[in-house]
This record gives sequence, C-alpha cells and structure tokens, in this order.
Amino acid sequence: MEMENKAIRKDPENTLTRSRKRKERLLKGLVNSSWSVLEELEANPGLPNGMAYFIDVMKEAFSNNGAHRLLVSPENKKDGRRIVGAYCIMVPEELIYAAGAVPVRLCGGSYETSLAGDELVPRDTCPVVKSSIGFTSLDLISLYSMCDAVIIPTTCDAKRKMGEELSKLTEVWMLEVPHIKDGEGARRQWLQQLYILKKNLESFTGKRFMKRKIGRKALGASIRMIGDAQYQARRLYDIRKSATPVILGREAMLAINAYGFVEADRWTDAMARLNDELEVRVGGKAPAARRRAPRIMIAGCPPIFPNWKIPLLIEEMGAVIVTDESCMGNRYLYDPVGHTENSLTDMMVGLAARYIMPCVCPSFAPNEDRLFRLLQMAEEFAVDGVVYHVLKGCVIYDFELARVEKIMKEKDIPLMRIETDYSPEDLEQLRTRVEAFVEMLGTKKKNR
Amino acid sequence: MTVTKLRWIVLTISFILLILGGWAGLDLGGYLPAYACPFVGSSRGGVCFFFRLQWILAAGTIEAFQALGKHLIFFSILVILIGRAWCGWICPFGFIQDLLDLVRRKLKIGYLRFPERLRDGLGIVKWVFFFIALLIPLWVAYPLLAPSVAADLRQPFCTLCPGKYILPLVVGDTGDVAVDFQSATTITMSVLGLVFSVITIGGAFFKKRFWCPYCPMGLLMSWYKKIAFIKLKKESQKCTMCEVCYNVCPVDIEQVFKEREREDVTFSDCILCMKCIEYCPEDDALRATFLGKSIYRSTRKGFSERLRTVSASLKKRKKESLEHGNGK
Amino acid sequence: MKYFGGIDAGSTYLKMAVVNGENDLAGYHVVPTGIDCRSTARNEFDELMKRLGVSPDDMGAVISTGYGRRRIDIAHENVTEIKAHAAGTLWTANGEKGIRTLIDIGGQDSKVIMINEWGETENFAMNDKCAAGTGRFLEVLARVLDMEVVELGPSSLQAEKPCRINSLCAVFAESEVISLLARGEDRKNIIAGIHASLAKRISSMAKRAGLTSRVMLTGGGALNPGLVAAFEDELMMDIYVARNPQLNGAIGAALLGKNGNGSSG
Repeated sequence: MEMENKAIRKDPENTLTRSRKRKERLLKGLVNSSWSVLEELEANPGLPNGMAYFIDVMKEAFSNNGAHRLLVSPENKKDGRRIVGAYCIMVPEELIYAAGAVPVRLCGGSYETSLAGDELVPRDTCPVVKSSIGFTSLDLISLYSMCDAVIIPTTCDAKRKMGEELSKLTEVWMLEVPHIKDGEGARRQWLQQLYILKKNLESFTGKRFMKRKIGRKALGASIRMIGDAQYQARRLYDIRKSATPVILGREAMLAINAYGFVEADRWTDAMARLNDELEVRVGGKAPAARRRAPRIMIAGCPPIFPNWKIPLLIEEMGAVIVTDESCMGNRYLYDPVGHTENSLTDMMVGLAARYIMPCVCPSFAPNEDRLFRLLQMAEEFAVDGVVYHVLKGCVIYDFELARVEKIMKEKDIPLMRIETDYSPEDLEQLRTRVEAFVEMLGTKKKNR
Repeated sequence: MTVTKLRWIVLTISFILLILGGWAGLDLGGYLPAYACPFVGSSRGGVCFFFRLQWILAAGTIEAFQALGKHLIFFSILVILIGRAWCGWICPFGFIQDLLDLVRRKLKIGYLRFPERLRDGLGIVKWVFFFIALLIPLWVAYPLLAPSVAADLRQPFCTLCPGKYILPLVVGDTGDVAVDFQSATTITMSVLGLVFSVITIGGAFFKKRFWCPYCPMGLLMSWYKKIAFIKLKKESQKCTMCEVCYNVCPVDIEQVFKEREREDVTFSDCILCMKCIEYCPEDDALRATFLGKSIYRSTRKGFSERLRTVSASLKKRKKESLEHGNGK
Repeated sequence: MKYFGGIDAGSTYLKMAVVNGENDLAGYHVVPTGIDCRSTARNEFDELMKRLGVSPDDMGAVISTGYGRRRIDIAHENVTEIKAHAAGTLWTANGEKGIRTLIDIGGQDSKVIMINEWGETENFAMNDKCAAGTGRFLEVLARVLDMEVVELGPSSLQAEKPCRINSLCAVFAESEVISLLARGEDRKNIIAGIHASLAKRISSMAKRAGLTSRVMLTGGGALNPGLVAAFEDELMMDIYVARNPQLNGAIGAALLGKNGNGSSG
C-alpha cells in the first residue's frame, strides 16, 4: 500500500493533474463566492440602475475570469498597450496612463486564494497578502496573469516582503514610500522615486531602442482623466451625506472598488450616470434604507471584493453604511492632484504630494491626520456608529484602534472592533455581534 | 473672477499708481508699506516707508524724531488695516517679480525651491538688512567713529535694495544702474546693490517671489500680524494635509498645512496672496478673515474649476448622460 | 393575569423564564440544550407552563435569545443576547445600587455589557473567538485536573499560593497545567491560578470597554465562588453576584416581551 502511494507521488503526470484539479477547485470556489455576493447585491429591489455596470465589471473580472476583456478592447490590442498592476493606492496611476499603459488594481480579496497563499507566507500574514500571492502563484484569473509588471509600494511590512516573494513569479517594481512623510528629505526622496518610475515606464512602454517619453501634455491629460473620475467619486461622496440614504454602502463601495478593473474614463461615465440617478433620488420617496436605520462608518482595513462579508452583514442587520474610510473605498479617489502650472516639474511635484501627503494609511507614522479625517467624516456623514474592521495580521490598523476609539468616545460615537479574515467560518459569531451593535445604535438613536 | 485675476488687476493698478501716479499729481505720502521707490523720480505716486525711516534717522534732530513718530503711526495704521496684503497685492516690486514668474510659467519651465536648511539660513538676511537700515543712519547722525565712511552711507538699505536699481528702469531712467565711484564705501555699496539686483532678476524668474523673504520692511510688517485686520485661518479637522497650499505658496510656507492646533495661520512670511485658499481642495479648510468676518473660503468645486484637473468635457458629458437617463 | 416568556438558548444550557405582569418571576427552568434546541425548547417550555398552570391564552409574547435564538420556533421574536442581558440586568441586580456593568461568563463566550439607567446597552464587548475567557476554559482544565466544574470554586478558595498561568490559549494552558501537575504543584494553587487567568482576561476586556461602575457577575461562571474572588482581586472591587445568575438573559428576554420592545431597532 505504502509503496503504491509513493509511486503515485512520484509520478509527475499525476502531480500535474492534481495541481490542475486543485486550481480548478479553487477557481470554482472563487467564482461561486463572488457570484453569490453579486447575487445578493442584485437581490435588492432598490438597487440603482446605474449599479448594473459595476456589478457587470465584477462579474466579468471574477466570475467570468475576463478581466482582460474589460481592458483590452479590440482597439487597445492593436496598440499593444501594456498592463501594469498596482498594489496599494500609493501608485501614481497618472504616470501609467501617460506612458500609454493601463493600470489595474490588484490586492486580493479572495478566501480561496488566501488559502493557497497560506502555504507560501508566514501564518500571521494578513489575508490581503496571502490572497495576492495566492492569485499570482496559482495564475488563477486573467486579472493577475495579464499584468506585464506590478508596482508594489513599500507600505507595510507584509506588502514589502510580498514584493520580494512576487518577484520570483512576475516582474516587480518596488516603489519606496517614506514612512515619516512630512520631512523635506522624505518628500524629495519620494519625488525621486516617481521620476525613477517614470523612467521605467518610459522604457517599458516604448518601442525597441526608442523610449516613449512621458511629456507634460500626456501627463496633464491623464491627470485630467483621473481628475474626472475623482470628481465623480466626490459627487458620490457628497450624495452619500444625505439624511435619507439613497444608496446602500455595500453598493457604493463596490462601485468604487470597480474603479481598479476598468479604464478610468469608462468608469467615470458609468459613475456619472449613477450619480445622476442618485441625485434625483435625494429627497425622493424611495430611500435605500429605513429612515431611522443607524448610520455606520466602516474604518480600518479595506473590504476588498469578493470579501464583502462585513458590508453585507452590517446592512443585513438593518444598519446602513453611509461611508467608509479605507483605501479601496473613499480614500481611493478622494484626494486630487494640485498643480497650478503646466510644467512637468509642477505636475510631478503635485503628483508626489497627492499620493503620500493626504494619504492616511496607517503605514505612516505619525499618522495623526487619520484621526482628523475620521472625525471630519463622522461629522459630515452624521455617523451613529463606527465598525472598525481589522483583518487578522494587519498590525498597523489594529495599532491605531486605541486612538480612534478614544476620539470617537469623546464624540460619543460607539465603536466596535471586528477582527476577522476572509474565511466564512466566523460568520455566525460576527452576526450576533453586529446585530447587537446595530440594536444598541438603534436604541440610542431612538432615545436621542 | 478668480482671486488670482483680481490680484493681478489690483497689483497692476497699484503699480501704475505708485510708479507713474506722480505724473498725474498723485502723492500718497512718505510712509507706504510698499516699494514705492523715490528713485523712480517725479512719476512716483508715494514714498516707501523705509526710505523715510533712514532719512529721518540720519537727520538725527528732535524735529526729525517727532516726524518719525507721525510717520510710524501712519505706517502702522496702513499695516494694521490689511496686514502684509500690501506685499501680495500692492507692492510694485512684488509685481515685477510676479511678472517674471508669469513669463516662466508661460514658457512652461519648472520652478526652483530652496531646501529647508538654506531657507532657514537665509532667514537672517532680512534681519541684517533691518539693522543696516536702522543703525547705520544713526551712525550717520552721530558719527563718533570713522565719520568719512558714515558720510557715504546715507540711505544704506536703499543702496543695497534691488528696487532702487530695477524700478526706475520702468520709466526709462537708467541713471541708477551704475557703480557710485565717489569712495570705496559707495563703490562697495553700489556694487553690492547691483549684484543683488541681478541675482533678484534671475532668481525671481526661477523662484516665486525671490526677494520677499529678505525684505526688512516685510519683517517689520510681520510684527503686526496679531493685530492686523486681515488674517489667514485654518480649520484643522477639515485639512487633509495634502500639501497643495505649500506647493502654490510663493514664499514657501510649510506651516500652513502642518499646523494642527492653531486656527490663525498667518505666518510671518505670509504675503496674504490667498493662493493657498484658492487652491485648497477642501471645503472651508482655509479662509481669509477681515476683522473676524470671512471674506474668502476654500472650496473643492473652486479647486476643480481653477486647476482644470477636471476636463472641459465634463459638463457636456453630464448633460448627455442626463438626457440619456431621461430617455430611458 | 398575563405571563411573558423568555428563552435563552445558550451553547450548554437552555434557560427559560416566565414573568408575570408585575415583573415577578413566575417560574423558570434550566435544562441542557441537547442536540436539537428547537424540540428541547418546545417540550420543556410546555412542561414549564403546565407546572405553573398557565394556559396558552394567558401567555403573552415569548422572546428567544442566545445562539440558538433563530431556531426556537415557539418564540414570537428573537433578540441578541446583548440586548436580553442588558434588559435583565436591573431586575437581576434586585435593587443593588450603582450596578451598570454586567459581566456574563457563558459556556461558549463571555461578554461585558454597560447599561444606562433604563437597562439599555451603552457599550459592550464580547469574546467569542477563543475558548480562553469562557466557561469552556474551566471545563477543559477541570477535566485535566480530574474534577467536576462545580468543585473548582470551593477548592480554589483554599489556595495558599496561586500559580501563574501564562498561556492565553486554552489548549496551551492545558499543557501548562499538566506540567505544573507534573512538578507536583498543589491542585488548589493551580485552580486559583486558572481562575486568576480567566478573570484577568475578561477584566482587561471590561477595562477596555470602559468599566466605571459596580459590576454584576452572571452566567454559569458566577456560580463559581473562586472565580468571583478572582474577579474581585483583579478589578479591586466588590462584585455583586446574582441570585439566579444563569437566568439573566432569559429574564431579560421575558421583560422585553412584556414591555413590547422585542423587535430590534
């Protein structure tokens, strides 16, 4: 018997079949889980028509394994445009567009691939990194395999080491982000990094022996293109402030998430349509949630599609997510590039500032800005309670919990920390907790 | 109308009045907190306070000191009224520097920014100029030491000031652009002044408001910032620390975006040009107040429109999509 | 007279309470949950009604709570255990002054609930992920020590020099206890150490949630005098122990039914 096992193990063909089968199994899991999230979203009778585009994007990228079809339209293929993957929001996508390439946002949110990544990284690594490594090593869907290169900013420890691991599998460019950002030296060094990235991109997208220079016109145009997207994102942001919610948080967050998988101008068009629709709804008679529903802000680690566990749970329990402070949500497209001159220097300076200075990623220290930001959002959105989402292994977000808890207490806004990962096993315990939290907020709101 | 445009209009009018107003018989007095340079000649519409200050101190008589008191009171009233907005909105020499900056922008050349350490080091320059303008005239009045040298040092700051050499050029007066060969002292002073002028012209082309951080009158005016009527204010909670205000600031003030506690962010070097408010992307994060009343506020909408980071097709697109949506 | 029922379907025990219109506890019943909490609840609740002589017509709202709350089909509504416990706190405290905090040590989780003067939740914290910090911790370690859970309390009170248990994990704590036994450590001291460890864990959760007032201890853990003493040492205050600590959730649910605010929100 044992001999037989050994024989099987040694048979390379058999190993191949097995790994293929495993891959198929994981892919099926991914397809199913993303499908079920989208189905649940579509089941909402009040779903805005404008959401259809974003849901389709997610379906195409995750359930149909067709991220490449979203980007490489026939005319793009003719141009032979390069695709550059970006981990973290600190990658200046304007430069990628200006070089004639297209950025896609990576960062994994899949339970299945986080299982695969589990074998390759330390146990306490966060699920985002596990999932990202899982996606890349398994070559599971085209979203990851179509990237000609990936850019990884050195934000937290896990991302930094992930860059090292991924470089075994794909072309990786590290982007060194200063962690203490307000010093002059740090900012200059960061600007230098962007110039290096610019150079890399130029030789990467150019023809042989001929660089494709990123000039000020191209850069200006891509800044405006993303500026348009940011304008629409800000419109959505403002719409969500309305006293009666006109869109559920799980939908709005998905729409922002989808930005990472399509070209900016197409996303802008779709977002403009959604905003037009929502603006009509403001003050209308069909609110997206009960008028008295507790208004919740999600802070902390980003919910990344298809990990829609927390957003779905909160709204299933009768609350409404009015806003979120995360790098896959509001923070993604909030801060604009400020350049007042049309010189390349000024654009680069503006670009460098935009990507780190207002960014409140907890990988920066000191990061007091985040507290100001959260307070401001709590005020703007008339938040009743904060759900602080911690992905297991994300030390830096968890570190800031105490500070956030303190400032929220001063404002008498209850906060609940939820520590979880992408696995569905703790759903029932979380449900009880979220339900109790929503119940408590409801009672408080009634008494007010 | 944007504040930048308004400022250009005010700057241009002030320039014409202060440099050419004399031809129309204008005389705004001898205590102006701006480079209304007397060396321009009869066309000047007023006189710079620092010219008078040095002249009075050098006279050294009781009457002169009484006159100084009067001038100081007038000067103080003017500064308290609008603070260092004199520098940003009125000063003719500021106008010249802004013109050079405009040329650079139009040529789409990038700008220069001094590193922090150099900026800090150069911070002493205005103090040196200030004491030159204050102490040397007193030495001239009471020449206890080396009286021959003192005699050649009338208007010591004016001799060093690039305004003396550059502003008269505007009315075609090239007489000032020369080395004064009277004595070793005058040669040294005028050569220094000419060197400063050349550096300033070149510097102002590459660096916004090159001269302003070294202006001793600016230093004097900055001491009024607590009681001046115009103030720059910030609401820390709304600030995202995006650094845009620093990148547009002509005098490189970092503290505005770094400040997290104080509401009043009128720092000493601030010339109240209000560019930071204009380009601040956060609603109400920055504002200018006059006697505590807000006169200008930052808005995200204004930011998008002014910076044109949003393409012109946006409105069209919005209209189209609305029609599209209604058609459904 | 109208009666109102509360059913607390916990992980280990199913607790039922019936209150009358005057807020008096008419009767209660505690049974092991068993495999199927739905049928257990149905049969045992009928039994209880019969024993109390309450006809179905006299029965007002029945509200379920606890982990199995959704499966109890005889209940009209269900609420989370946080809300039920908060609602029961003031009743269970029986007029004791200043009790605004409840620490409930259940079989599968433990919770700290802060309430306001009307018995509504102000803040709460829950430990539901890990066995350490729950009643399960005691069960596991009692087995290692070859004792019944009920014996732990009296025995630990006689400890002279409590041991230190450092492990935060129930499984590792088990091996730590085994090695202490192997070293020949006195059982009483080990048990006192276990209680101290559990109290410390939950107290830190309570402190983090903002502990300010007097504390009442409920749940199965409150029946253990050794644990109560450990809490008193850890929190440095007198702790009020309810008469029927296990019933707090069920009574709270019944009271919510009586006051007609069972539905959430």
